Amino acid sequence: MEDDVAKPAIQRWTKARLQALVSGNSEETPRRVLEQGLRTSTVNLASSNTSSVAAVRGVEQRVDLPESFFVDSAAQSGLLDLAPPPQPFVDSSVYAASLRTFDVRLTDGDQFRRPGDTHFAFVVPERAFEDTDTLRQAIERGILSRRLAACLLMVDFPNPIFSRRREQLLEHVPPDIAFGETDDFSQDVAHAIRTSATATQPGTPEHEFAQLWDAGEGFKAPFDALLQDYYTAFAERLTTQEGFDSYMRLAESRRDRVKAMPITESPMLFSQTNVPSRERTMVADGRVEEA
Amino acid sequence: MALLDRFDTPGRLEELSEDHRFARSRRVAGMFDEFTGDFPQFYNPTVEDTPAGLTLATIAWPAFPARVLREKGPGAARWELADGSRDVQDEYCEWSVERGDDGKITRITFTTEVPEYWEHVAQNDPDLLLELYHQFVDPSVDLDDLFRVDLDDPSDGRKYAPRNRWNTSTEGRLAHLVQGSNALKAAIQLVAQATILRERDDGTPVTDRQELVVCGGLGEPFRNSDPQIAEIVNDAAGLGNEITLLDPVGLYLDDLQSAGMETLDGADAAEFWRVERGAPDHAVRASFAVPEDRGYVVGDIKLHGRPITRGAQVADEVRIRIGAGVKPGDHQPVRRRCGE
Repeated sequence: MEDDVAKPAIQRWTKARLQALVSGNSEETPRRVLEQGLRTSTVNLASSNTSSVAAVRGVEQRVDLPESFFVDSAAQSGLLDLAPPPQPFVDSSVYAASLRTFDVRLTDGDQFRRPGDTHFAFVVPERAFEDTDTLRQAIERGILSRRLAACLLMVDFPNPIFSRRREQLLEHVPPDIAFGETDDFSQDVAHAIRTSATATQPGTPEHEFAQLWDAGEGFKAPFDALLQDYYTAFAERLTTQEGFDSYMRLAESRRDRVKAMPITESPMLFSQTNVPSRERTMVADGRVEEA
Repeated sequence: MALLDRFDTPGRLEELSEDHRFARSRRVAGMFDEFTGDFPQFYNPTVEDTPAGLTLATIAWPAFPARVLREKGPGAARWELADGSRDVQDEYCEWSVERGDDGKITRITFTTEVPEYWEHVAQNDPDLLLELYHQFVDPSVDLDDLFRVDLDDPSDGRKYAPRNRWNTSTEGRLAHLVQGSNALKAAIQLVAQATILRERDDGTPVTDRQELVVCGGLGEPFRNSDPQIAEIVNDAAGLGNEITLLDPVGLYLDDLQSAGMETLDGADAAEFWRVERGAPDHAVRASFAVPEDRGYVVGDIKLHGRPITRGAQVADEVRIRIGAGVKPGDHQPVRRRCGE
């Protein structure tokens, strides 16, 4: 159903949208394309292929985790050919201990309560297919250059969704920005970010973008190096209880964001935990920082 | 109520003589009979009656190997691995790829033909075997290429070699399944064994499909096929029913799901899916190729936005199925501990 109906329908819809946008027959503005790349207004859900029960019972020794929890691989590797992540795994014993630590249970908030995770382990939100496909088609149509798309997505790359840093870049994109000839739109967006006042201040997302932009058209090698260091870092942390527990907390923060979205239909969408609700972010060395 | 006269050939293939079709039916019946004694809720429809209103259970799963997906994740690396060896194509479906001089894919051939059938052809009608290889694999195949002498027992004569030099590669045109788990007997055994209900050491029932497969020794928990078959059969057995496999017993290819494909001329890519062997509703071999007069090839087609550069991409869009029949019964199944 997903591959045979939903995705093709989204692709046709996106094609029609962008066609209307380029030809000036749309109420949307070109800025909307960037919003879909930089802001998380909707999500899809991803999970392990391993059933939680099989892991907890020790039937399976390892639990595979969705790589999209760690990096936006569909866009960065799938569209831009940057280094793909290795498949992340955690030992079942580590996963099971985490379920106990965080009192993970399924409940409808009323009568039903069952200890444990959802059927397939570790359900988390990921970038929505419609947003990825908009990026893909915008690149194919030449609306976005590959270089601009790569630089935008590499800002705060350890947080593939709900990144305040990437969203902040939108402030520099004028509401009335228009498509010009060939690469003008991408150049205009990059110029607006790089020449902003905050672009000179280290630590700001604008500064991070400017540094990434300076890699030029040969961005793949330096970006791959950044990604590879990150992949090594989170893979190492996944071997420890402390490391995986921090990812459980981060996952819960992202689920909390989804629970506040209109797409949440049931309290049983995710398991419940005792993890305090607060903002958490991943950093490039694989650590999770609490707000 | 009726007994099945005989098991038909996979896909209702008509190439065998009457004598050899009966012999083949007896061979399949023998596979059933190996398990009916130990598994009373599994039955042989040529021995036991089947009611006219048998409940049909079609069990289907994706052709792309779930184990590769789990190891490599959803990115492009999984396609490269799955295209690299027939040994990882373990969902009762294997495929091979042909390319043009420019490296673009021109044809992908999928098969669900079980090796036992081809062994039967080889044993009974070597001329037909060679004819099939010439027609579907390569006109230059020599009969000697297809047989081997058992060095441990030379007196046993020549035996058909399923993994012969023409049927090991993921390139070119394959003949039939060769991956170790992709066999008819394995599927029959799985269905028979899955009729046993299981419980954990603490007495709680095992219902999770992956746990069920491990607990019952029912194959590989991370294949698409084994847990799917085991779960459906186990559910039916839990109600006291009896289970069999539907005639013609075999693994079948469903039609290609082409909704995510973009062709250069706007044609529905499903038009390029051609059943090569088997009845239309029981396909055991099919190929995906663009007719020459269209002026483009498979490698020019986009699938979910990406050009098709691997056969495995198309395997994502292919479904495999096996038909099971559920006969009402009054068994009182007793749960067994894992490993028993």
